[in-house]
Amino acid sequence: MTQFTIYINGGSKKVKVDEDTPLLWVIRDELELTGTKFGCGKGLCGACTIHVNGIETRSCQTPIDFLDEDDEITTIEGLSKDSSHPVQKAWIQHDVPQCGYCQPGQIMTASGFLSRNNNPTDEDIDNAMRMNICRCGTYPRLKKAIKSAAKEIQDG
Amino acid sequence: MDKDHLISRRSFIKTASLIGSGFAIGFNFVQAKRELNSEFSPDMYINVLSDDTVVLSVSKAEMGQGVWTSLPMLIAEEMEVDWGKVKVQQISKDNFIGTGGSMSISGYGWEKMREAGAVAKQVLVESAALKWKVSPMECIAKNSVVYHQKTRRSTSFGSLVDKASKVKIPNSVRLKKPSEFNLLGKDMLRTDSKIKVDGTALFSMDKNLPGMLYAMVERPKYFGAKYKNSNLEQIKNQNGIIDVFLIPSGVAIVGEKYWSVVKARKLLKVNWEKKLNPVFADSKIYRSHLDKLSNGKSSKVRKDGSPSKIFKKAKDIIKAQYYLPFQTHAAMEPCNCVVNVSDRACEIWTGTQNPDNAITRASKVTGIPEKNIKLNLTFLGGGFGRKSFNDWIEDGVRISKHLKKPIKLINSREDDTKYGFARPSSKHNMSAVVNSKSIKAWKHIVVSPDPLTGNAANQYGASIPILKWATSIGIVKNKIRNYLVTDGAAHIPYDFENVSVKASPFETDIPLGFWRAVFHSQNAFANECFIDELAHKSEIDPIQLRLSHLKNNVRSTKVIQKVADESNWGLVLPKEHFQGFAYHNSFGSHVAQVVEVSIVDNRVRVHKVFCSVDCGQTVNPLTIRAQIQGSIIFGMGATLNSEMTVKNGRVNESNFDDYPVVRFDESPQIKVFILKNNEKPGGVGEPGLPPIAPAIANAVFAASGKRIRKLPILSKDLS
Repeated sequence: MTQFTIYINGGSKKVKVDEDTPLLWVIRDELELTGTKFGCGKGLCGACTIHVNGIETRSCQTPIDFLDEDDEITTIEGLSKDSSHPVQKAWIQHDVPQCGYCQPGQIMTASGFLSRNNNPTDEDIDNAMRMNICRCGTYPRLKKAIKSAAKEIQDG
Repeated sequence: MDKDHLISRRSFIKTASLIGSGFAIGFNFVQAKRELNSEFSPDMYINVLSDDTVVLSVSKAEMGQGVWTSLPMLIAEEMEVDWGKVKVQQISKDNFIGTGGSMSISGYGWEKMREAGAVAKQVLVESAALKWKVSPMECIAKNSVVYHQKTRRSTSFGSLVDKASKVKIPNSVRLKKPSEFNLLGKDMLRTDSKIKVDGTALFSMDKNLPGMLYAMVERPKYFGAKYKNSNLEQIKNQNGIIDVFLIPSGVAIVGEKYWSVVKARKLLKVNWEKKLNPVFADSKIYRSHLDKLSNGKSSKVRKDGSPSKIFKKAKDIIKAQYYLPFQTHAAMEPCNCVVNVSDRACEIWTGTQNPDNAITRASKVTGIPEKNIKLNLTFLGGGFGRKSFNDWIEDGVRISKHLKKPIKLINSREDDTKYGFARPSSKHNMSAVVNSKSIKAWKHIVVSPDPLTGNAANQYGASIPILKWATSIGIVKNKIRNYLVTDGAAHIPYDFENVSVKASPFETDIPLGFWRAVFHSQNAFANECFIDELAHKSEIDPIQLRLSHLKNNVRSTKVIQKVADESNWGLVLPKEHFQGFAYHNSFGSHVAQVVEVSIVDNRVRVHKVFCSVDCGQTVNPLTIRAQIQGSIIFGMGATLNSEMTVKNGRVNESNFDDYPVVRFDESPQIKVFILKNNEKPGGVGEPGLPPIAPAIANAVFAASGKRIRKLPILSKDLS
């Protein structure tokens, strides 16, 4: 096992794990930030999505030794204080979650992509979200919530 | 509902002070069958705190269907609580009832939660009357405040908590009339959204205990195979591995970290002794058995009129055969649990639809009395029927028992896909006689294993407890053997004079179970595709043919007409767009759908789904629309994307790459129309699913002239 220092949600943390350990398990089991979810282990479902330097990243496919020292990680717990991110607010307002298991991943994907494109077309939204699976079928509400969050981000 | 509603004697009610300054009323709606842990052990409670907060407990499992919102709404409506002061808490009671069959409101909450709310209101009103020394008849409660209008006095619920614990529980209460409802029927936002968007909602996957170890199970490569030997000793020496040992379902690998277990498991090599002559454990063999049985004798389930006479006399009999594949559930949260077994006690954290059975099994495995087994019900990251089987809990209990340490058992996605309890693949032989634009005789033979009674169920220890569970929550209304497989076939809503419904159940070694909407998903496909074929062959509009056989059924007629109007059925559509229709009645609700599709490069694209729903009195329309949308999307996957296949005694599929589900960009525009009435509430978690497959298949016929009689619809079926 190797000791790593990672910068996550605005603070640095030390962990001792095998160097090939996916970030997902470091975040969930070592740091006990359990909002990031395990869904498929193959980067197919998006439940494990986090931000690395603001970019949506599949934590189940990212070994900890792949990180550079100055890489900044954000998980659902670090996205905002008190669910105040426009995406989280829109999710509540549009009653998006059902079982809720995939939603942290959906939110991290949506917030990452909206930070680069706050005026997305339907096609942009489709392309950004198609790698995140929801088995409850919250897609129609996700779409509405993304549009409403985009508007709030635009309006500042 | 004007009359006083007598509180059923079974609902044992008791007041007590819980922690904090407040009072609680506990209800035992489910008959206690075990010795109670403590004196105050309700399966549902209402707790009023002195700061006016009202804590309402939910004993059904929240798996997305919205019971954390709808059940408290039913209580709050009758109790006259200010909705803004409500807090919701999951209750984990040893005898709480299971969740499934779209029964949370229709079979449980509608009566019991309203009764509980009315009792609590009555107690609070009487407390205020006692305080003011006036007659309770002169007091009213509204928005968490009790008023005495004559003397213009008012007091909040929170101020009554001391008095309330001294007031006797009423013997009868008056329930509100629908015209008096303030909350029911209104769109209310979910109470669990905030914790589901900030990452704090607790799924069992998220539970950690001090000193907890991680476990996985390598299960037999083939159904029913037995362990022969393995390099188990070598795996024990891997870094971070604590122990590797056999349990009845396979080889348990336990380590300090999950990743160590994953890596060690890759090195594990087990030789399995295949079961001799596994029963139809291969898709090809299974399918030829379906064909064989569908041409043989079958047992009678329903007979109306003289169908055989009509068929014998008929010049022209229309026939068709439909096949449906196996489907797995693919819930987002793979089965997992946290278990801590010590010498005298066992505590479990998991998301299960069937907690009672989990406790019974844990007790059997550990020898610990049921009263010392505590099950903490967490949120379920999807259930869809899969999480009623509890196999993973038994595994977790055995592993923790062996080590006497807390463990978290995690199924990989591949484990979950390969070792589930699939929807049975079924075959449906349909025949009918149509004369003068009317269906004179209808025959449906359902060929499918029955997941409640088959080999598979027995082999996995599921049969008896699952049957008991399914009966208790109303999935199975009696124990007639063929009942489940003909659900939706025997109860076809059309008023055909001559009907024959038969079934040929058989046994297989493939583990089978309940999948969202259970057999309605298969039988509605056969019914609704076939009636569409009959309409086209007889040159009648498919909706008109159905309506002509629903003349005495006002609810189904209205629901069909509504969707026909809203979808502009039969009118001009965008170029290359085509419509298909289907209707089905299940779980007490009527659902009709019109889909609009196009076919490009032999791929079906679903653009729009219009869906009308009559589920009786509505509780939360916002939830109803979410459940209908979700059911449509879930059912679309099984129509267009996925199938589970079996080869040589094992499941071929493993993850979302080879079991593709509907993704964001494939999701159609869905418009849901809820018909308002005050009929008894029906279910909403499942009834939206059965019509989608036949509606799509019928639209594909309109678009291509090709009849779809086998799912999923593949490109090669359209070329």
